[in-house]
Amino acid sequence: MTLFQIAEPGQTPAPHERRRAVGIDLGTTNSLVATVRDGRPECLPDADGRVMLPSLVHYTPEGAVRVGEGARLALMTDPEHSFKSIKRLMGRSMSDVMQLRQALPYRFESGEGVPRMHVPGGSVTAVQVSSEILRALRGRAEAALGGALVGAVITVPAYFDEAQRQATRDAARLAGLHVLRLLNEPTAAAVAYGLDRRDSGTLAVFDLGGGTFDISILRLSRGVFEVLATGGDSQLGGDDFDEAVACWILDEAGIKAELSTGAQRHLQGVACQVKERLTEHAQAEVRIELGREAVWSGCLSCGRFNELIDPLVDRTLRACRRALRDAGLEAGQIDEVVMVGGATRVPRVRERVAGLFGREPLTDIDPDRVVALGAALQADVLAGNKPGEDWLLLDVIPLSLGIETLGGLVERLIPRNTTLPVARAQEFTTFRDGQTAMALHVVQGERERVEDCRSLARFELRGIPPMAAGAARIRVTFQVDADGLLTVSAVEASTGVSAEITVKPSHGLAEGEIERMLRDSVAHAAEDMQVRRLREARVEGERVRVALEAALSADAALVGEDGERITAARIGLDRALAGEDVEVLRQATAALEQACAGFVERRMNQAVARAMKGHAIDQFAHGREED
Amino acid sequence: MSADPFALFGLTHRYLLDEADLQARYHALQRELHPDRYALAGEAERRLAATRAADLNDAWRQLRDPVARARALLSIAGQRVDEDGATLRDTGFLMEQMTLREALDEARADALALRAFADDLAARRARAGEAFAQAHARGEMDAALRAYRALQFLARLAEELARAEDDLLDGH
Repeated sequence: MTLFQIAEPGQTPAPHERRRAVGIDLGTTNSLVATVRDGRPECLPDADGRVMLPSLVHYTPEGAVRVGEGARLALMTDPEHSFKSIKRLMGRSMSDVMQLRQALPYRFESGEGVPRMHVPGGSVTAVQVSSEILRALRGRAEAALGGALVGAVITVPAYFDEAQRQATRDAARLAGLHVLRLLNEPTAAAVAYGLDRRDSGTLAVFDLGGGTFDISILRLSRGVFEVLATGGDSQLGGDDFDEAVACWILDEAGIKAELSTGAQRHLQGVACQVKERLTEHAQAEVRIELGREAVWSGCLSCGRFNELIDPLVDRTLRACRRALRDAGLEAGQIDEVVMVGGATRVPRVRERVAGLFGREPLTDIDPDRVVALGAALQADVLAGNKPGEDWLLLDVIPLSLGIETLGGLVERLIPRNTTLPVARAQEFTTFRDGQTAMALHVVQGERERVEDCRSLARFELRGIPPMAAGAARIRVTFQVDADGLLTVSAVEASTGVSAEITVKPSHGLAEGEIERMLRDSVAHAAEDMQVRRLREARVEGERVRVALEAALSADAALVGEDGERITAARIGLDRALAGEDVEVLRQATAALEQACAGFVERRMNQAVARAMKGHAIDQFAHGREED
Repeated sequence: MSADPFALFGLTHRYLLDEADLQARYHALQRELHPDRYALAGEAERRLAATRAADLNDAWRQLRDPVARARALLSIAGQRVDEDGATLRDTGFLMEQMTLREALDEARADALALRAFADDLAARRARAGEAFAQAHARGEMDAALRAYRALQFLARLAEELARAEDDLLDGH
């Protein structure tokens, strides 16, 4: 029972009441937006009928931003200011980038923290570049659907760590999108496939995109998709196949000199075409122009191509075996294998995946679209457009979360593959008399030493009541939400005093930076910052009011003694919504939420009690239909 | 972090649970509490749902894990389950531990031997579970604590076994 599903099962909201929600596949190479119309998910095309938006962004010398096909030419003519595969830089630090840098033509500003790349008139981060792609898709969707969106489900690789997820969410915020959920790409694909097929079983989703590889093992049982294990490699994808072919070309052509950026991109383009040709042909002609009339031509056979990419495919299969072990399953126990991502078109990949699982993988939904379609289906459910026939997606945390302890070791708090959301508390104490502050370093990864894991953030706790050394008991709670995002709170247990927490993300953007970027982005979006703030506050206020109305009409009996307070707060919010004062609006929203807190809690308790009805105490599940 | 995971699932305090029933209850509860059910609600309500769903997941983790479930039952019954010297006095238990560790070390390099060890270990864990269930049901807390320590040891051994299996797989 949710606050929004007040319609009876089978009674769909009238068309004008349908909430406009979309699924967005923010891909390394291409991005797509999809929505559900007449019960079916479909990808929304641009004015020229193309559904795939190349994930390319060009910042022109005139200060304009071009996204998609319009930025392609600039890859060659203005490589320094045109960004491709920006997803690979999301949530990454400068030192990560240094490792990749050879292949990147951008000019990075010196300095610690989030990498900033030079563009005409300033610099941008990967979050800003990604937000331009999201903004373009949002514009496309709003034009097609005829109005503002209530929100979007945005997909991320299951293997994305917290910093990468946070960066994606920040990009959405910059693009003015309300994120209904960050959904793992493989889970989205399973939704797109799983619904009209069997109603229970185990699935493996093999997702090899342009720049990332994911493997997820899921169990589906009566509308609940449960991720059992997930694994992969966030730095492995179809681009690496191109790279292998490009290296082969350079070898064969005997080119040893350093290539110009333009020539490098030309080479990559040719390599990609060769790869694509080899999906349907036994061999491919290669012809490449490398500066001053130097032309090289040759021929790559399918067999040689397979040898080139086999080491890369091996890496994906190793990750599959590990995920199977984590799920406690043998390869033969998987009922279906789903292929996602353009790179799964490569016949060698299909062949070897089939070999591992002992069955032909499913490929009937376009592997480039399947993630966006699944995300659209989930967005439709989250927007409350499918009362009565919905499903639930239970995702897991892909990498263990821990904190740094003495000697640079990691104490694991939340092991990988734990179902989300999850909260774990840990008690710490002070080691000096009167100590009022302490610092915690949170990392993500499977290794024992801090330097081998990814640093997520440093949390500084302040305002601990001064006590004798060792007397304070500081209970720190680490909470990871359904999107895989971390929040930390701390309370001194004996006094109940909350500590103030400042977060210093290791690779992400601090809260103030996002605000500043919002200001910058509205500068060129020609929208006043104040107008935007007001709009955001109105949307949140509306959300709370609509939620309350739905809740009241369903469970008015639970209001109890809070009735008067709620009514007063509700009138206050209505008045604030009619006005134009952002602060008043925020306060009125918070006041109504506070007035409703008891009522909301009672509704949740009732929902829980209702869920357990029909499960009499210790009544066993005998007589259910067989799995 | 719920104090009594059984209560949240509407179960009485008993050790042996039906897996399918447990899963059905878990799914029914998640359908009510998962944050996705509150995707359009206000900030405060979404936070509350996230906390409740996290509690649910924690209860589910405890109920599914043989050691955590036993520990929860002991703690509900007011038993202290911290590590103490009790195991050191139980020489029979110590001997069994040593023998099993040696057996694992000997089986390490051989997939078939590891398989046999795994089967034996599974049977031992099932027996220890039954022993705990009986002792707990009869309120024999000393026996329950002994069975709990056996469960705990066998679970650690199972982890070592999993690592040995991993090593063997990675070696190929």
